[in-house]
Amino acid sequence: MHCLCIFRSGPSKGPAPPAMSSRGQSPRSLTRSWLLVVALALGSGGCAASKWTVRPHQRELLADRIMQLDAEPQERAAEDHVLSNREGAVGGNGTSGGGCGCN
Amino acid sequence: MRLQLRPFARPLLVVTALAAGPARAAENPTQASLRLTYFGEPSNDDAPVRVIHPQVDVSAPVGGGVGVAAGWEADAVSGATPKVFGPHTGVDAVTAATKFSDFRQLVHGGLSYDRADGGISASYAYGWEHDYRSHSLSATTHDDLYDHNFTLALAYSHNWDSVCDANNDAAPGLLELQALTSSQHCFTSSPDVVTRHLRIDAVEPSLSWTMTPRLVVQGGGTIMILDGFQSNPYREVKIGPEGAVPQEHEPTYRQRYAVFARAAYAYPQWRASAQVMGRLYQDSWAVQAATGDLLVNKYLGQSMLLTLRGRYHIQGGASFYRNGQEYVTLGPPGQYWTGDRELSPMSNTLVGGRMAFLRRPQQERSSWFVEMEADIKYELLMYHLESVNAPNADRPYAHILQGAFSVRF
Repeated sequence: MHCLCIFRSGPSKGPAPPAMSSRGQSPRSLTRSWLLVVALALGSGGCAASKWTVRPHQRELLADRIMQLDAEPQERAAEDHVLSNREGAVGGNGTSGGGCGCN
Repeated sequence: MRLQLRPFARPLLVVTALAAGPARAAENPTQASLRLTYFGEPSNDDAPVRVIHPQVDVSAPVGGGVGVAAGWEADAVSGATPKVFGPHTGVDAVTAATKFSDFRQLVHGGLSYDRADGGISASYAYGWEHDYRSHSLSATTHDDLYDHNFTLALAYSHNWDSVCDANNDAAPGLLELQALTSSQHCFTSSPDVVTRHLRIDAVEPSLSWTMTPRLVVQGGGTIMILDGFQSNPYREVKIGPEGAVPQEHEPTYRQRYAVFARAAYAYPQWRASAQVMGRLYQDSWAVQAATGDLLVNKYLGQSMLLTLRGRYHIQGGASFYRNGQEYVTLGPPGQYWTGDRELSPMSNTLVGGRMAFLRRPQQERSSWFVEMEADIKYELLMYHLESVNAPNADRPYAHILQGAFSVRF
């Protein structure tokens, strides 16, 4: 999966950062550093999020019926009708049931 | 003989199907489906239980994202069940078995509104038979989040059920409760029967996540509250050494909880997929259960789809359950007793397969349908009960045979 984050946009074309003073970073430089950290964090977060994003053109397999968790609701209903009368549990199959379970 | 009605199951199914389809279209096609299920449970002691279950469902868009759906289903049941739950070595289990046959029907209809990133639906169902009537209203909603990678769904249903029971107003005590002997007078003003009520509320939230181009996962839960008559009015349980045989007596309130996780993973190199499901369950009657399910789907050629399945379920018994021998020798643990197999400690294993024939004439302009499917399925359900004195111990397995035909326009 391709990450379309700011980190892939190449080197910055903005103005050069100010020179460091002998006693450390200037307040403006500190602010820029923090902004950079925040941008890095957001960017890496964005990359992480996009890593878990499946885009429309990647859904070919997912669109197939064998990838549908409930491809046949009617079949599921029939199965639930059988099993829920013969087990003490319900739910978990996208279905629910209750009652006496006669016969 | 009373059958089990579960009309509220269908709306919850629908919303889960919607939630599970990460690549669905906003406008669903017109569809008609016909399915016929045969359930046969042979008995070592008596006649087998046979159920023939036809289903017909149709759905169609009416424009603007609005769709309508309707359906009918029925159960034609015949067989024999022991009238008295008692020790297997006694005569009751065999000699008191009564033959029965009944016919149950259910109709349902609903409206839905789908947009590109979500939808809502509402439906109503009515089921009836000689001794049971049920009205059910359901509402569902689902929303896609984060570029359709997540689907949050919520379903709610409420049932108003009416159950025919013997009139036990004059019974001096619980051990003198009389079972219903016939459904002949049910829902009439006859003094020998009364109508009990059962209210059922069910909520099912779920979250689906399209995790990778090959993997879809889903997690969720079910909360169900039942308030009202839940016993089998025909069943009697042999209690104590004196041989009392009162009507089955179960609590009238039950809370049921389940959590589940499901996943589907694609194997494109094999044109196959695997689906797994795990479920944990607990209720206020102290039944605890765990269930695992595995499906493998594999395309064979251009038009055939083979599905193989294995499922295992294990559960503990209800707090008031004892087997037929213990109810006689020890008596019930309290004021409740049951002869219901689904409340006993047990497990079952289901194995089977399905073969589907798919026809998608995508390039044929003259075709009058988009997709046609015919399939046949066989499954074997094997019960593993705790002892020969457990309910229905004479029926160790069941056959499930199913055929279906559906077409999408």
